[in-house]
Amino acid sequence: MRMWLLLCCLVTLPPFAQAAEPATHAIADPNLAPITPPKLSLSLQAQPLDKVAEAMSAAMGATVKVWPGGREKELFTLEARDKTFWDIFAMVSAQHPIVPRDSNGMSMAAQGWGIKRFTQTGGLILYADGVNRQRVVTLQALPGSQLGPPEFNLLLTMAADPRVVVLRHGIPQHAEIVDDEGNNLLKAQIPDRWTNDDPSRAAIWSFPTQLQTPEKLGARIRSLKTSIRLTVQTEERRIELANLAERPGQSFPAAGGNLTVSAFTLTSDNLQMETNLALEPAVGGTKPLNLNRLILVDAANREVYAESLPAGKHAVNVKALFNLPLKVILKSTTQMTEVTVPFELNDIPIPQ
Amino acid sequence: MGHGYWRTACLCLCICLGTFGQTAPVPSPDLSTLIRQLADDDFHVRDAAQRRLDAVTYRQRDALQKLADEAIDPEVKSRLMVRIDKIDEESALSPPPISIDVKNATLPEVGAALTKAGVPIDGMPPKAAEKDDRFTLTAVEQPFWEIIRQLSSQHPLAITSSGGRMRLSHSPTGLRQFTRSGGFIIYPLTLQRTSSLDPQRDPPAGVTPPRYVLRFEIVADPRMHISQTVGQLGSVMIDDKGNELPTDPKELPRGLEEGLIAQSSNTNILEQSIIVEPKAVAGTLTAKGEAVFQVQMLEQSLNIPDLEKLAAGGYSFANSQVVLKNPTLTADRANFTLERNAITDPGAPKPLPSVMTVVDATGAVLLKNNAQTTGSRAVNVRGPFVSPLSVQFSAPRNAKVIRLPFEFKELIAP
Repeated sequence: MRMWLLLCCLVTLPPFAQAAEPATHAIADPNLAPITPPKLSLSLQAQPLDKVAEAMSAAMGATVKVWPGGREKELFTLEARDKTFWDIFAMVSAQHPIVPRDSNGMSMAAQGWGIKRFTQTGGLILYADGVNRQRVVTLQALPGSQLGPPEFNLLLTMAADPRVVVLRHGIPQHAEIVDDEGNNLLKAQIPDRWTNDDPSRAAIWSFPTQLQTPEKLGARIRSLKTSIRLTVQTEERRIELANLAERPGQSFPAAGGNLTVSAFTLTSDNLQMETNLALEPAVGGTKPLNLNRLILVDAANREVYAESLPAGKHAVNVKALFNLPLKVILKSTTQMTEVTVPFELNDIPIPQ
Repeated sequence: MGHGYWRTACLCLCICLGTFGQTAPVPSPDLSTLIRQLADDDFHVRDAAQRRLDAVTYRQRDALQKLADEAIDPEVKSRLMVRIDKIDEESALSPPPISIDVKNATLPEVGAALTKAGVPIDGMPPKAAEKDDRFTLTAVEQPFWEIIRQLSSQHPLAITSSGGRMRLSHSPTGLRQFTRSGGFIIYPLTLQRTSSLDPQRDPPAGVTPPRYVLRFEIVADPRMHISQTVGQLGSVMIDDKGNELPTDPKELPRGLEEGLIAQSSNTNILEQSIIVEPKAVAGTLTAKGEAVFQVQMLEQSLNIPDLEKLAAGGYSFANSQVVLKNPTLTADRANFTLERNAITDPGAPKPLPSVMTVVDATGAVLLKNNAQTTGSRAVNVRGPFVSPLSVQFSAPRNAKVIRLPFEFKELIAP
């Protein structure tokens, strides 16, 4: 046996027993348990954002990163007991504005104006990110056909607690969108379907939504009720290889098949290798999903690579300074479930 | 709501654009008689001949050039050269009319016919969902843009640009209404009303008040060489209650008025927008301002006929010293160093942007790109080629700033 250190463990996620905080919260809808991580408690005094992120990551057992925004001198104080990730995010944002950002995982970005108004369902939030109205006159069109219809667009954004791994999502299905004049703003909906697989296991999704413009449009959207179908991971297997350099050509089990890592060159600033993910013919009916994620961590514990693995041969090239040896972590989804997540947003202002 | 059509008015240039709109044939003076009279001993004869020379148009430009090349009398030669330059300047701002005759032609065939008539433009084939429209047109001695107007009235066309070359393509709306001024046309594209807000911010901070955005384009005839598209000046929009809705004031780049060329432009299309915040809901709007271009009027060139026989000390060209160093030629490769140095005299003008072309003995263009204004760089030419290789440079000899006033009236406010 070569010097590969093979660590293999299975982590069953619900009810998030690995999290630092005991699962004291009650889940109102048991169907939402797979997307409802335990609440968190944190106590911090005058710490910069990266220390806040470290403390939150430690409490969750999952990583939330910081996206640098040039405001490193800002300090945060937190006293949170039994709060959701998003409650704490809002407490941080209230001190100095931060916004969620997808940077190969959830990041807190010290930029923008922060988020103040969102609705939570389990570990997911939905918020209105922008509302705009416009009307265009096409001046080269024939007389009588120059004036286009009024356009009214709402940008909805969904973001996930880092402990909720969303593998794919559907199209939001709106049950109701009404303004304060009682007008129905709902347009013909896009039929629900799974979007393409989310190879990066994204943390934030945007949903542009077109609305109707009634003759007497109100000043606010009084109520928006919608639901979004998700496939989320409920069990993950983690395999660790202590030193990538020691044996190329290694095969090991991945979700749905076998992964072979081969043919690489490795120096302290250049890695070129090939992965070959041979999938079984059917993977529980979810073949389009990327169920395996390859992470490379250097000796200084920095992630130098973290991507979902596509089926078949795939070249991995990393050109950056890193400290050898490189540790390989393969995370594979071994169980997943489908959840329909309801949201309700109220009182969204409408531009005039 | 009224659905009146926009109208444009008041398009004029602040400088004389010479042959604008000139389509009717002009009687051609007898040039050989004219030359004799220009050298006459009698001042009155010479003066009358000069006035007739000033009436010579682009149609006799090449004949005039031939006579200038052959002229022995230095004064006659000088007078002819001045007139040739003037004709070239007028053509630079208002290219001459053309003739085309196409029947049941595809758009690529129309592009080829226009190119054959002297206007370098491509006609794009239809995209997958578009019809393969056919065009039929017989036009004699008409301005290029009038021909485009007639073609676009048959099937809607749009003018675009790619890689410095202009294109005619199919368009849902087409170019139905534009105003022509010499080699330029100007037309409005869209007028858009927008309002937006950020629901995460507390009003009024997150609220962007309603705005009108007028997009319009100014396009130069493909034969014109636009040295620089500057933008617009003094633009305003006026609502139907007479409220003037000012936009940000814009200033000309320093030095532009003096005819300095700041950079080479690779497009003859300038898209502009005017953004205003209305004081009240308007029915119609008027927009006006000035679009500003710098147009290359005359070209200067330098031809180094043999890369292997270079003059010691380099060449003087376009306000700089051009030096080619260390040429090495093999059967399929040529390398040399191109050096350009600014003239060090106090007050000397800056070196002008130039284009360098390497041509082999058969006339094949091996390389064509921008020469740096100062400094040194390696030039690598790949063959196969036939020696000797000549290196040619071209640069604007002079340029003019064109201020093109525009006014769009009765724009429907959405």
